[in-house]
Amino acid sequence: MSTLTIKATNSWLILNALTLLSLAATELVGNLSVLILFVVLTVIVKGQTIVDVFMGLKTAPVTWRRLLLAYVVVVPGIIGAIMVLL
Amino acid sequence: MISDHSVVNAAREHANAELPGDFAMWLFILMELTVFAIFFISFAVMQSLFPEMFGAGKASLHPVAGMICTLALITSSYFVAMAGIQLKQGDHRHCGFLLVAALVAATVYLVTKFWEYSELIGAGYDLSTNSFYTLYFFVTFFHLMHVVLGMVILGYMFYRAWQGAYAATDHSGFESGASYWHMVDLVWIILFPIMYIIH
Repeated sequence: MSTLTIKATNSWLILNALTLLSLAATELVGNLSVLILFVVLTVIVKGQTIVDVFMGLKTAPVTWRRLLLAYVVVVPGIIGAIMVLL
Repeated sequence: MISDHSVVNAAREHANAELPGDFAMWLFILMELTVFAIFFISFAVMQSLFPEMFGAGKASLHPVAGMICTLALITSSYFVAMAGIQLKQGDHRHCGFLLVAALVAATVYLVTKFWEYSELIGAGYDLSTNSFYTLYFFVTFFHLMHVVLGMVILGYMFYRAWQGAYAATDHSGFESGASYWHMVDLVWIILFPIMYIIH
C-alpha cells in the first residue's frame, strides 16, 4: 500500500467517524451553542481533509490552498455565529 | 537550524507547485462555492428569524437519510481520489473500477435523496408549504443537480480511463473532473449539519 493510499484511506475513515460523531452529538449534547460549536469544528476538520487530501491542494500553489481552506473555515464560522448570536 | 539548501529546495518545490486540473475548472469551482455560501448564509439567517418554523421543518426530515447521503458522497469522493492514485501509477483498469465504485456510491446518494423527497411530498410538504421547505427543496435539489452533472463527468472519466486515454504523468482532464466531484462533496459536508443536525 502506497503512502498516498494510506493517507486517503485514513482521511476517509476520519470523515466517516466525524459524520457519525456529529449525528450522535444531537442526542448527547443538550446545549445548542455547544452543539453548534462542535458541529462547526467537525465541518472545518472535514473540509480541510477534503481540500488537502482528496482535492490534493496540499501540494498546490499556496494561494489556492489558502483560498479553499479559508472557505471551509469562514463559511461554517459565519453560519455558526448567525445561529448562535442572532 | 534550517540550512540554505533546504530553503532553496522548499522555494523550488513551491515554484513547481501545480494546481490539479484545469485553471478554468478552479475558477468555476470558486464561483459554485460562492453561490452555495450565499444559500447557506441565507438559510442560517432565515432560521434565526423563524426558529419555530425551521425547528418544526427540520424535525420532519430524516437524519439517517442525511447521514447515508453524507457517507455515500464521502465514500464516492474517496474512490475518485483512489482512482487518481491508480492513474498516477499507470493502472488504467483499476482506475476504471474505482470510478465505477464512485458512481455506485453516488447512486446510493441519489436513491436516498429521492426517497426522502417522496416521503416529504407524501406527507404533504412541498416548495410552497413555508420558507423552510422552499429553502430546503431548492438548496438540496440544486446540490442534487450538481451531483447528477458530476456523475455524467465521472462516467466520461471512466470511459476515457478504460480506453487508456489518460497518461500517468499528464491527466489534467481527469484531475479537473475529480476536483469538481470533491467540490460537490465539500458542499454537502457543510449542507448536512445545517439541514439535519443543528435545530
